[in-house]
Amino acid sequence: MLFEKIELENEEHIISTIRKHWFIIFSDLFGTFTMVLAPIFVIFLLAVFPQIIPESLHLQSHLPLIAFVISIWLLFSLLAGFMVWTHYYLDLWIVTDHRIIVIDQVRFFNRKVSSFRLERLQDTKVVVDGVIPTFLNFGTLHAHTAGTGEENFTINGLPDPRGIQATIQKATDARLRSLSNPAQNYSN
Amino acid sequence: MDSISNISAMINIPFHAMSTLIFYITTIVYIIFSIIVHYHWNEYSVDEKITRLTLILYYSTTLPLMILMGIMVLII
Repeated sequence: MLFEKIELENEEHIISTIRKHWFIIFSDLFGTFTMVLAPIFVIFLLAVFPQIIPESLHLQSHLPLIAFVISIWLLFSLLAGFMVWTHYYLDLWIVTDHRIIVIDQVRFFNRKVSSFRLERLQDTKVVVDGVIPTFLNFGTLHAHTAGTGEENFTINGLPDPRGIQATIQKATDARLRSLSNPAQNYSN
Repeated sequence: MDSISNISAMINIPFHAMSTLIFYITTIVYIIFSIIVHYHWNEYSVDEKITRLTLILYYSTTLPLMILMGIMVLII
């Protein structure tokens, strides 16, 4: 399991574990549902309108072949669906009181794990663009970090982006306070 | 000869041989995919319960299809 592999520092605590908004997985899986339902829809059409089947096509004598083709279709649709679900679930952001860990499961065997220290975080920006993101309250968080490379990171499909921005801001302020006054860290 | 049988005659491969070959290829793809899915969930998941549920759902939906395909290959 992943948490056993992420080595937290001394006195580091996880504040929040965040995944993409449910609408992202819903819209990604919509294609899979359509693919799974397609053969059922075709069979339904053929049953309701048998006259659309050409007379030269004796479907009854090829039922095992039709079942075989439908099974392959359904199998690959399901594999695609499980791939989408795996990528959704394994994409993760962990906000701790020391840093933000961004885990991006791009595809199988392509995984990016980045860690951004809160004290290096310069500014964060939230973008909620569109009707659905506005109503369902999800968006993109852009963060700018200071350092040798001046890195930026962008997280798409965040649920409650303003709430998460506030959480990060609060954690950053607390981190800066504890760094400027280490005694306070121990007294807390 | 109907249209579907014509396809078999046209490409000069009997349906049984063709479906057996497709079944073997699909089985190999399925086994490799299952290993990859297993590896990713066991290695990177943070919730054991969700991992177990996902893998149960994965096998309970895909394995019957593989078995059905195998039976159909024997019948074709």
